[in-house]
Amino acid sequence: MSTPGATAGPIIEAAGVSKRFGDLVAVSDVSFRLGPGVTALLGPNGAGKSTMLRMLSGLAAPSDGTVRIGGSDPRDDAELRRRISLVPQQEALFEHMRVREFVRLAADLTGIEDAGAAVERAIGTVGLDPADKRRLNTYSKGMRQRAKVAAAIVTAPDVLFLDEPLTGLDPHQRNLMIDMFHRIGSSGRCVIVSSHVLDEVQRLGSHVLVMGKGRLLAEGDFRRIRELMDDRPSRFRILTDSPRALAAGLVAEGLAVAVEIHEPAGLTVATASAGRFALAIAPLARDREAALHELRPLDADLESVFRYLVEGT
Amino acid sequence: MRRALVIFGFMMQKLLRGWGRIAILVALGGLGILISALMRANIGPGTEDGAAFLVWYGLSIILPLGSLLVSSEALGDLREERTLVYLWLRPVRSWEATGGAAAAAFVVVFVFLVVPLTVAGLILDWPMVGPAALAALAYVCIFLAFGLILSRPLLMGLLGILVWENVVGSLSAGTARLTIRSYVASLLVDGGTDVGTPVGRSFAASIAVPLAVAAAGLALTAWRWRRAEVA
Repeated sequence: MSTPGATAGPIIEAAGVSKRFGDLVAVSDVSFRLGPGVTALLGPNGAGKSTMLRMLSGLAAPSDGTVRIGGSDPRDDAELRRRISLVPQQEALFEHMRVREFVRLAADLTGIEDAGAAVERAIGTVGLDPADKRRLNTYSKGMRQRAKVAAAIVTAPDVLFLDEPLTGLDPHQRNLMIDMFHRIGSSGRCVIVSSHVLDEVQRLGSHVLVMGKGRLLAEGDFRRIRELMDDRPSRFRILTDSPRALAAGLVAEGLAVAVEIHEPAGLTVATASAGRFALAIAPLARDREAALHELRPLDADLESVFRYLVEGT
Repeated sequence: MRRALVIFGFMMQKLLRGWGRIAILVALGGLGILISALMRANIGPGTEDGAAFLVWYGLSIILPLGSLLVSSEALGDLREERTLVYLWLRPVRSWEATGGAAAAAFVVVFVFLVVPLTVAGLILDWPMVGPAALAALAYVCIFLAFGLILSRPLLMGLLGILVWENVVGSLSAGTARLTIRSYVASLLVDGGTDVGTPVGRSFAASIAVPLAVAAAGLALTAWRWRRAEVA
């Protein structure tokens, strides 16, 4: 499988890219170079992923910096868009069309040869029926998502941007989609997939761009980023009728590296091993005759991961 | 050119899909024919009143209104619905998108408004096809740009028709030169005829000015297409 980055000649280059909407800075000074393969663009909602993809695909102009696809500006070069496709995040489609018409429109506007066969292929690839007579406004969220993907891949683009493409898909469809992204990436093309779901990103590819608050927080191998996440202490909030007894037990068993007691019924625990902690907490509470009312992870969300990556806290 | 045809076909399908819009156009055109028939029955053909009706109802009201209804929504709807992305991301040149959309809007306006007005003109014995077609072209192209540029194209277009074409155009012979209807009406009747708006522009100006307005509308739309920030 191809690895995006500097090993192959870069297809996509972003240099000092920023985007402002009035006083709001949506993307701030982002730079990277990507080659063929699948790259995951990871970040929480509002991180600037969609704005970044819009600039990369030419839909929006950077306020500062430059974007180049194969050395050209996608915003100024209409012919370059023959080689680019985007699956936008929004659900909106041409509601009155059938899936075949929708995908055919993309093929005809791009001017691909043997459009009819390509349309059949693209629709079949995403698991929809090319002969479906229903209009797109009757489609479920997952079917609409797949129709968008079909319209994007029908032109066999060199660069494929997908903005949260797995939203609304069931697990089976997600697997099919992820396999397809990898097939496209393995054929020497550049695929960038945005997501705010860590587990999705883990399966999308080893190369990851992490964005938060409009900035590029990290770039590189997902395993390294995951290790950073796994190495850090995990924190849990516990509600119990015996916080002191439970805290003492956790420390004695080596399950907590730090404990903070909130009288009368709460404690916050930092543990170096979340997995071991999760297995041991219930038996420990039983042994110490402490009733567990609530056990809640405090930093399993992406924002805390990003905070950790940036601030180490 | 092939992509312009694809856009044209797509736009025709889109514009003809709105039954409410088509019903309004049919009603406006049909009403013009009905009133013309009644006028002919009462005052006969070839009268100044007949010409004044065609200028007022045809060139000042239903053509700008109908063109606004059709043209501002050709590209404007896509922008509002956030589906413009599916056209913009394809290798479509701005003139192909603009030309295809304008041609589709013009065909719809021609069929549903220019043809009925031509029939109304035949009934009242005034040659309406040229003035109506030229007015339709100018309005369609201007309102196409409105759809892509303005956030409320219908409202702004209505204000434009009311304030610009009717109020400003009625202030004086000088300000009437700034309106489309003054030029296209000059193709219908000779100078000195009282049709509610100053006429008597030269034949060349009566042709050239609406065409220039249409060209400006197309250029504005194409420019906006190139520079649009597509959501």
